[in-house]
Amino acid sequence: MSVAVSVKNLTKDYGSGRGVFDVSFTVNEGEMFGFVGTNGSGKTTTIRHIMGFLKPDKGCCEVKGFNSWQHPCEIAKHVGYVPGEISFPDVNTGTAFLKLQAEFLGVSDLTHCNELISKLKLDTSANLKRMSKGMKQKTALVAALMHDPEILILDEPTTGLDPLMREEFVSILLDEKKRGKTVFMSSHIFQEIETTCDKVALIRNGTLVDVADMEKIRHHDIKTFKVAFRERAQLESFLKTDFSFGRKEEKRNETEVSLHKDYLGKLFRTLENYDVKYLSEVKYDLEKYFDEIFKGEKENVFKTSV
Amino acid sequence: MFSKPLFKQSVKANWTMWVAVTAGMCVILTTINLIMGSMNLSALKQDEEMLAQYVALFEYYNQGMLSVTLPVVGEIPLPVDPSLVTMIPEGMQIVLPTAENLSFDGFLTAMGVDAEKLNAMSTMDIDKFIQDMYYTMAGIMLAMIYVIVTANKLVAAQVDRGSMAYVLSTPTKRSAVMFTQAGFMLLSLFGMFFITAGVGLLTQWIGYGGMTWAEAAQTLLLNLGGFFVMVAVSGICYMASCLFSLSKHALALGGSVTVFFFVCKILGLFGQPDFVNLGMGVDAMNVFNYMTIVSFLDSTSIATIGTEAVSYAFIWKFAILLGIGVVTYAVGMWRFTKKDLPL
Repeated sequence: MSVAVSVKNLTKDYGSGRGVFDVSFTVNEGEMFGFVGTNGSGKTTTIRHIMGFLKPDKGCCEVKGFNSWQHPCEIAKHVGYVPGEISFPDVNTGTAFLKLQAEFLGVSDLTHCNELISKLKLDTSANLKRMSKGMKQKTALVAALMHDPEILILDEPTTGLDPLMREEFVSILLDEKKRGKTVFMSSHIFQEIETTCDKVALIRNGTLVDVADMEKIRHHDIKTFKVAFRERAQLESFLKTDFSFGRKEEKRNETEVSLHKDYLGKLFRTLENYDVKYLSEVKYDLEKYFDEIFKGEKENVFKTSV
Repeated sequence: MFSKPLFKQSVKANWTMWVAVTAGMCVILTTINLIMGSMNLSALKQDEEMLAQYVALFEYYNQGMLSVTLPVVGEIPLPVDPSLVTMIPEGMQIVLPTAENLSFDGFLTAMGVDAEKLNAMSTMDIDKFIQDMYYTMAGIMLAMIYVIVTANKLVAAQVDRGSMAYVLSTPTKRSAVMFTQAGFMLLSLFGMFFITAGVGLLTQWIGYGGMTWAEAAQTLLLNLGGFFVMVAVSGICYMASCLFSLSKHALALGGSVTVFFFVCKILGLFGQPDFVNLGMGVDAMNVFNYMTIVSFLDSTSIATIGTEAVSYAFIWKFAILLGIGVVTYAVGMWRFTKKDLPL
């Protein structure tokens, strides 16, 4: 698999702790890559570097092997960009804007563009300034997709959209992915990234925390269950078995139990002898995954300080 | 190096203001030419004739050819018909009421008027004065407003709002954006002054009932000069627009510098000889004329065209205006291609 986007040791210091610091990751071709982080964590700054709008203090960004800062025009040929802030040029209607964009991109055949418009059920004759957020977002997406780029870079594309619109939007991105496109999108919503992306990078305070493979998270080997018993004595007896236990809720006679998926049978056989009130799986998700990393970090900090 | 769609976009976004400003300039210029021309504002020339009569009268008196006992100064019956003077019989000797010779200047001084100033006033061309007012102030002010607003809209506002992202995420180089937007700014200004020059010539011809080649050349040069002033001013505003990523900062620099030059020109007006002679100005105010680049449009020098002593000082002043334009545009463009854009 060849590399579509690579960010190498990217550093941009805006002072007082803001900016991005030594961020590195690669996005392979055909991948759907999620970029999560809270507001102000450096997502947009990283994306602007990839687009070649900002000059890195250190390190570099490459898109299809082209240095972003040095060859933004080469990059533009392969990339469709949806900026985080939607603010269109000073033209009246959506149609006028899309026609203008087609000219900028040198697209003379508008069939693909019209296909997209009908797929998105977009009314382009509307005045740009009076469009709803969703319509604006769709218009921006059409503008980004009309030259059929290999790579899509989207900065928080679903922020401000209602759930239905968000689903629709994500399904279009998934369609593009199926067509072999690389999609790089940022978001501050974990769930949305979790369900759509193959790989997720988490950025916090300008530093990359980790790049997670969603496949591994979805099919996590360690399963966690919540088990509750009718009697306190049973809980106490269960806690004496050789499983590893997590959080306990003694009031409800409940405990969390974690085990490798290969030992599921053993758990159920053991539980056969107990009067189980309920049993439910605690889903392992992105949030949990990153929580663990943060916890690990804190422990490390603690260790080094002692 | 040039982006056609971007140029189109700039035309679409700015043509309304361009039309409004150009129309405004044409209306002012037309009004000046038609009304001033037809009103025959050479009242001062009539005064000149009357003054000549007085001078003759005083001459006669001093030569002892006039026996009229001069009434109290200030109560001379006006106007005096020169034919009356010729009616005085030759050789008629009459004793003068005073020993001293009466002079015209002395008469004026007695009336509380500075003879020199009056002389300067009588030779002042009011039409030229009004034209000068138009080209160094009224006409330029409208164009300045256009430049302040448009220069900001062409670059800084688009970076500030983020809409520049749609241009730069296409294979359009930053340098192409720069050349296209600067080209639009300069071409639109050239068009503006081209049209006002045409309208100016036409209405001047109609209003004054014809014109000489020298007058036509002066009008054209004044318009060309106005354009060069705008080249320099637009350069400053464009540079400000390229240097800053926030509209408010670009407007603060470009707008304040431009308005400063304009205000200095107004204040400098009160130091111009014409105004000082009219008793409305002070020589010291002339210092403001050295604080504004609008003064590089040297209308006094241009007005010498067609006279015996032609001054070509306006040419190097035009060159300075162009120089300011070249430097400011270049600095703005260079900076824009190198700077961080928050898009």
